Amino acid sequence: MTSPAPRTTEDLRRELRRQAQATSTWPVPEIPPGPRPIRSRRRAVGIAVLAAALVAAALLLPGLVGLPGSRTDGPASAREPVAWEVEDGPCTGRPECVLPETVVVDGRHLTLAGSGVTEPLGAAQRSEDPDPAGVPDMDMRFPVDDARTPVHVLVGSTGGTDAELTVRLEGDTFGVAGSELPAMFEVRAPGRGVTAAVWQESRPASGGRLYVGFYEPLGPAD
Amino acid sequence: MDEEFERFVAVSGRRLLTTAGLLTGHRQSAEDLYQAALLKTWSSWSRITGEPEAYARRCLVTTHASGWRRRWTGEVPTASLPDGAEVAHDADLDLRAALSRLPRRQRTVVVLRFYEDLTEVEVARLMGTSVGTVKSQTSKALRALGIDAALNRTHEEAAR
Repeated sequence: MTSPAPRTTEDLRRELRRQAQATSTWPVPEIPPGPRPIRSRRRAVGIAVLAAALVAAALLLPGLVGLPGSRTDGPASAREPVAWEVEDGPCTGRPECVLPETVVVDGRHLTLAGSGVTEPLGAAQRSEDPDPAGVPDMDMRFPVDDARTPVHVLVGSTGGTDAELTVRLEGDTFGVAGSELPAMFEVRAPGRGVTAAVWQESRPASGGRLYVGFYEPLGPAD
Repeated sequence: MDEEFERFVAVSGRRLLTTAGLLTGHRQSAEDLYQAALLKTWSSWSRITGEPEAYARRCLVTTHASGWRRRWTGEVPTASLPDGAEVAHDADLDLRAALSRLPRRQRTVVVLRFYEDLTEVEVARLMGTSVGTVKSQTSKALRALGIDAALNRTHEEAAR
């Protein structure tokens, strides 16, 4: 019985070139709806007017008809963290696993439905490699099936209590200090998903990680 | 600016999709990653001072390496041939299967080092990590792929 010849990096390059060649048959996807430019000035003005009308209706209508979600009795805005408790502790078995599987927010039981954890951040990374273009350290989109149900987003970091994060949730950008972390925010998806971006603003502790978890109601909505 | 962005996509889109395909190993995931990178590039378009394709490539890499996992979509890693691939031998299939099993950070390093031919310093800058991490990830990936690093050095020295 002969053992196979040892592989070399040339074999690896050949395989990668073969896989790259295979992608040449894939059609390039359309530009996603967000970046598609609006060419018509009249159409742009129409959309702006429509958006303003929708915002006004969203602010006024709940108060007039007593629907939940008004600014006075509804959930906190995305800038204000909501109170939460761990129901089922952090998962175990993986060192990067820091997110609770289930939490309780305002009596509602929520389960982890999507998450992201960075690799350990280097302590010197931020100062040596500033990113003038502002690429977030984490940036993710959570698909939402039912836009009526709010999504809860847990943001945190490990490796130090002096973390300073900038968080952007659905266009709201705000800072979160280490004393508030991990912080839970309630977000209503405007469309098919919730976007969350996180920047580590302070010098990260060596080995620290950023994490974001998206939580949805456990079972039917209350 | 809008037309500039469309021109950028027309020129660079194919290359970015290829990189996304190599990073993810799956067409659907590659398309998602490609579109996510385009959205980020667009949102920063007015602030990009350098080469937009380099910026978009960085978005691809950081998004992919960030650990983001989508909810279960029924998609599983496979060693089967991707669409349009040439017929491969058993050894190639083994290597393809081993590649598909690599953790995403290791696969990212492999693609950038051995397909994009970037240096360790360039890979570290692109991934926002240290050169030491790139070296250790490369070493782990090659070991997982069954690649003899000593043999590689011998071949590379002979080629010089």
